[in-house]
Amino acid sequence: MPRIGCLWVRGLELAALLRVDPELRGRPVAVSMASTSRSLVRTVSPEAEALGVCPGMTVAQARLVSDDLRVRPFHAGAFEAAVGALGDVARTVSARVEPAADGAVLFDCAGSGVLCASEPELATVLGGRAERQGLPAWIGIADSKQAARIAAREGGGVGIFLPGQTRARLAPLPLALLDPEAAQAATLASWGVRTIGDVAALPAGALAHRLGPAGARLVRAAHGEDDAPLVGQPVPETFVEAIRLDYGIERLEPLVFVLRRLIDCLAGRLALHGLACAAVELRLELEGGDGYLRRLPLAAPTVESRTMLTVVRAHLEHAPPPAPVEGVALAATAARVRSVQLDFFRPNGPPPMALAATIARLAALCGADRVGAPHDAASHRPDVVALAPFTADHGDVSARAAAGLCRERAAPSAAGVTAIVAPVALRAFRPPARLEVFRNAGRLDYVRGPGFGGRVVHLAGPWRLSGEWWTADPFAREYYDVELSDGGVYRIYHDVRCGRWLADGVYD
Amino acid sequence: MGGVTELVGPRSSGRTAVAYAVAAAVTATGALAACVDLPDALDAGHAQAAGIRLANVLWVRPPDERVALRVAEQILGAGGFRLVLIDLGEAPSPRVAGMPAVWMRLGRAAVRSGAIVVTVGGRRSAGACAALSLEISRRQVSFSGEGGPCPLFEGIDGRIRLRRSRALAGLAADARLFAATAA
Repeated sequence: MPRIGCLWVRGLELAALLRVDPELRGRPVAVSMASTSRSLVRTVSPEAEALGVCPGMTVAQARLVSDDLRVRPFHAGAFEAAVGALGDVARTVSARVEPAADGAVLFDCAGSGVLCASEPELATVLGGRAERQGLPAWIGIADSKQAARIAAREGGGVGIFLPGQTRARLAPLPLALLDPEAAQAATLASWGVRTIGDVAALPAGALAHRLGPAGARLVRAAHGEDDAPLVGQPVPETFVEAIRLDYGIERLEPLVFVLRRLIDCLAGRLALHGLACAAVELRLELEGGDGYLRRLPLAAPTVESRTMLTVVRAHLEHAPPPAPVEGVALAATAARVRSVQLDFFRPNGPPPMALAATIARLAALCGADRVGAPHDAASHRPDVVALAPFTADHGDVSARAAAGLCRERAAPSAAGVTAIVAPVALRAFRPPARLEVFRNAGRLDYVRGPGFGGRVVHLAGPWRLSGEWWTADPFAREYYDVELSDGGVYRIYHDVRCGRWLADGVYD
Repeated sequence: MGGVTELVGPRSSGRTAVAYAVAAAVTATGALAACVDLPDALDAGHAQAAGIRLANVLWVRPPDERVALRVAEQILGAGGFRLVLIDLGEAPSPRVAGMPAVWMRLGRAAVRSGAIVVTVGGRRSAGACAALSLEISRRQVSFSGEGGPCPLFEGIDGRIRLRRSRALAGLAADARLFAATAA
């Protein structure tokens, strides 16, 4: 016997809005079809209902009822995000999840006894998870999609039709729960048909003859039968949250405030799947109809909303939108959280998530192109810098090999004074420092650069280096190692092509 | 046990060679090291020649001293890094030394995470927060074959003096350093 669950939110258009704009909670709010004053109100909050505002009014009429009423136009992006969040909640217990057109989410809950002791407990768990996503969902469980949807709407929180009892439970319920078209409902009412049981008692052929194919569908629905089986949708690779703002935001701080809420929602949804965010796509609707689209890859997948916000904020500080922002959408690309295999012979590194968060924060502080692992550049130029993404996975190093390397570096000892031998290092000048060079009898005599200079005490060179003649920017240099009277030993070169003298580092 | 170690010395004294030797010893065991490179002076070729496993090094080039210290704090906070090398440049700004609270936090974070924080600079910065302070001076620079057709830079002969040690108070110790070229 199949068991189907349904997550349904009353007034989902409004719930989707309150989810991303929680400041509206507890206030009289109405959601209209569009932003014009003639458009119709679709959904109202209980506070607005108490004031006398009801669906079907025009926005102008609703505003006349109360000055405190906040009217927001329906936003498809926020609605889809809310449906997506409901789907994410359902996927925590089921692999087969099907979102319906009206925003309800249906899922296969056969075999859920492995996860929860009973169906009421399963419903309670799901209700709690939906609540944490900002969606007060009602849950129904029955033998079919149609019955589960009715169980959710009728139950007022949790509605469960036990196996085999679907028809009996549906029979006394009002006909309106089958969502008949207005004309059908009027016809059925004129026949005295009031409940689902009354419809189920009618002969299907006769009803189809009088009401058309819709009549036959109505009878099947009254029996709790589905037109199509449950079709599972795959887990999305990208999670999107969106909000439309009342007015254009020009400054960064209020925009970050809005972004924080969206990122919290995204992080919550990713956490339901045990996924992390690998990249954030920021889409802004600007005043005047222009768009602003940026894809911000993270240094490593992270679940920390603070890290995601830091990256987005750092980018906006660096490249602010050119016009006031009227709408925001954030898309998070999901990635698996990496697990780490510990090594007997290698010291433990940072946990992958902590490392990812730290690298993302460092990239936000210093710039993404200034954080990474240095490596040899594929270039013949000695001063080219290359940076690779930093990861904690860097091959195997056995303790024995490490000890051997340390022994190689061990200092030869002399009596009384410890002697340390180490390879000399070069401290690079980036960019190379421009030099003034003075000669005496054809020999380098005096060198002056920014912050250093002096007479040449010792000189070694030149070593000629040229290359990349096959490109548009070849180089040809004569390198010297010079000790100056200021005490420094510098690596300088003469650029033969342009005739300039430069220093690209100091030995230290 | 972690702590802050200062390597202080003038240009071409060999202080960077000492710092690279420490980094090479740490990364050779497979441990991770971070290099907070304020003057953007790390040369990958020489670092590799010194024995540093570059894949184990997180290289960060902060824009100023304040951010450099913040970066070091973040890295220590993440845990798992055995060495954090802070290169403050030739003449660190007096502002760096004027942040004792930051150095104190760094010292505590180093102890907590068991990391060695090594600062390289032209003057002392961490003050009393440094567990160890080594002064490195240049004795002489060696060039071979002078006067001949092909002189070569051989290396720097230096001296390391223990200026401060929290663990070994009152101890005076010297070491001789020879920073040699790979050739």
